[in-house]
Amino acid sequence: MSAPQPGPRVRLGQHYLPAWDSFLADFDALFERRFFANNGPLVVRLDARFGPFVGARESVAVTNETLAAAIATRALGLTGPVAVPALCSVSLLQGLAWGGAQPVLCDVAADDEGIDAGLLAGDPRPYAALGVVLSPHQPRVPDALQREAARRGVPLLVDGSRALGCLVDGDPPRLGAAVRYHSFHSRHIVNGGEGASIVTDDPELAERLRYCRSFHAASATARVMPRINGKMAEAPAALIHRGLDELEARIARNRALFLRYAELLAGAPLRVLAPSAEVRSNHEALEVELAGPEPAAWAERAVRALGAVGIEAARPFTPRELTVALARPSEGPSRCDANVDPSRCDANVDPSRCDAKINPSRCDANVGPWPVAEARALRRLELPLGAGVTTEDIGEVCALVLGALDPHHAHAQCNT
Amino acid sequence: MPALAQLARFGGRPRFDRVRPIGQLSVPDRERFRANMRELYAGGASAGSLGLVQRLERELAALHGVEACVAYSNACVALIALTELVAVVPGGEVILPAFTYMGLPHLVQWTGHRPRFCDVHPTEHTLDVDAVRACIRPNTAAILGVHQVNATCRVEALDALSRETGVPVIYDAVHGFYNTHRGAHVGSFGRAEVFSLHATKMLNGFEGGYVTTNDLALAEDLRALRNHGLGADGRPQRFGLHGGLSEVHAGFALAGIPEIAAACARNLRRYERYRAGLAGLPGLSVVPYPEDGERRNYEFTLVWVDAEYGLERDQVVEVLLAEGTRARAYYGPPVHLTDHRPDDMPAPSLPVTEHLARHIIQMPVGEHVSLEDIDEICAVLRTLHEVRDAARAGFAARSDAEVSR
Repeated sequence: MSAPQPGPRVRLGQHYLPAWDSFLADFDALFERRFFANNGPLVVRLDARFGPFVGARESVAVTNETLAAAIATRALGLTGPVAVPALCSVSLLQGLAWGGAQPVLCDVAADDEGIDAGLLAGDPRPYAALGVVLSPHQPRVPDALQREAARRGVPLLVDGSRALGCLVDGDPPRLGAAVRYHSFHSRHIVNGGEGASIVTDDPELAERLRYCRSFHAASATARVMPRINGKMAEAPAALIHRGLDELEARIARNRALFLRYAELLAGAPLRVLAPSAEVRSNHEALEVELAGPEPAAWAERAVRALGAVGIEAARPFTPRELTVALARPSEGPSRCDANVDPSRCDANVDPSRCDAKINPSRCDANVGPWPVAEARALRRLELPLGAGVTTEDIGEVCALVLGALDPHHAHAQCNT
Repeated sequence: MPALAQLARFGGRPRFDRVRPIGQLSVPDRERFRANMRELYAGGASAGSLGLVQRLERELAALHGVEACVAYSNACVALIALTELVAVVPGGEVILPAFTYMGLPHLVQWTGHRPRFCDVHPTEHTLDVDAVRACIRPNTAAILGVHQVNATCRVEALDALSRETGVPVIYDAVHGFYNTHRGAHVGSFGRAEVFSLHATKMLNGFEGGYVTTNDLALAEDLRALRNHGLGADGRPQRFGLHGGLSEVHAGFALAGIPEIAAACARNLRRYERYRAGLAGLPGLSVVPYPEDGERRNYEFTLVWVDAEYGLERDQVVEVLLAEGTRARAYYGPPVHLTDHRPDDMPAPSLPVTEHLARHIIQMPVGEHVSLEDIDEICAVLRTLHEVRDAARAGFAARSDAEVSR
């Protein structure tokens, strides 16, 4: 048996837990009811509460974020190529593939980092849907992308996991015609341990989502195959309710930590990513971007220096790495190796020849180029900000990140 | 009052004011759970100690006598992940029984495979090995055996068939938890086995699942797959999903492990109470657990209904439901005759499965059902047999009314 590995001292992610007394009260009540799973009262209450909380009519709680994306894909009936931003979340990318669609990475717009709507307008592929990944500082679907979805007559599938509690001009961002899911993994601001909710304004779609997430659900109209046990249990629902109760306090704490980072990194050739004036961010992630030369080498040095003292940091995945996250070894090498030769993408000249319709891992369309996304991913670094992070930790993190700007200094740090 | 009218189905007052379920629904020692949660609140894995999920995996590997255990968010996700990794023909067929959980044919399809339903052994209710052999084709991707509560699959014969054909064998071992077969732990057979931590199962983790295996390379692949296919360096290496078990769920399951033997002993007492309570009742018999010295969990009590009882199995279930129990037809109708079969697949003929699926009741059991409850349930079944002619007439009257509507 391989030896289990202990975790880092300071982790990425939020990892908030409710007050201990609240936790005990909730779980004692749960034990008295002995209703642990299968659409229990806390899950029913969550479905009733969460939709209005984020400005949607319907909410469907599920097991986790991959199942949220996959169940939404099945319920929407997406079977063809789906355009996603080249800075996509892995959950959306893989959830689409599990749901039977073929994600195609598209380069992003420099301003909002959603799919570049201008490029998309000239793309002849018959996309079945457009994917969107919201961030704490960009919590709304870009207008241009909404227009492009409307022009094509296709739905928007949105990963809103990092944007819960964010406001635009004081209000939750409008859902519109989109289907959105929010993950409650512990790295997010509302921590259910696990879990996710899918929200929509379409009651018929909500019925298909409920039908697909359980083998037991009955429906006179919905027929979504295959189905899965994707139900949320009562324990995560208990934690999520407390997380929603405490959301404002958590955002305030995150903001204080964010300001500390901004203060300590001011004047350095680094940009701390921040929201625009009309956005109230939840600050659930802290990202910095190197403005100077050789950003990838700096990021790698910083990750190593922080890791050496038990502090977690990570570079975002590049588009090329994301194509690897779609590669199924059982089906042979991914044709995404064609990254070296974009002219091999048949779909660029004839969408009907797109292999992605047969097998997403053999998607010749995933060959790029993605110059904007690639550049952003290479110069960016995520640093710890969450429940277990103190202002002292931030001082230590910033010193090491700044030290990594000087390769000789960083080398000495790692060796000591 | 006439005996028939004492039954809730025919106008009497239900025997139970609170539902008597069919699941285990155990709650382990709360202080042990709290201790685990204090660890989580203290920082858990981030404080440099092992996380609760890792501890659970170690304890379950030891319990099943295997090299590795990999925990998942639920048993369905675990089985999908395992199928994704071991199936040898992309898009091929996975052989599985139809006398089983309705979800299995769906799970096979999530990995792009097709279910191929196969008949079962008449007394053991597990895959008939000769029938499996007859189902194997060049496009067979895997064999999915399902251990039944009263019998482990014929693992030696299936292993031999796997060696002969190159088709991997995996097991849905959800109802084989804690059992042994010829002295070996269930969990150690085939390429790997899948268990559930759902609240209704023997080990309650609220919800959850796990895979056991002696194949360390497969275990590493299972760990990578459940973490989006990321490698040890945190970068993408392959296709995957988000499928891990929550630390809270792991902490709850961990608290229950020391209590498993006692829970099995209580299950045995319930099973014996049913046997005593139904002894001598014509046409009704408890499906026996073999007395062969193997360790068993006695998770279910199954009752066989024959024509001699005087009523159909489904009518008996209806009477028990009306009394406030969750008794249900055991795997009836079988999966291949329901809309859980793929839309474009004709229903195969599986005579043994179809016979079994007409006769067995899954009785109320678990920590919500006392021995006195079982006495009450047995009394209902005795009364029902005594008034069987009137009951039949009552059911027929309802059928006539439904037809006229």
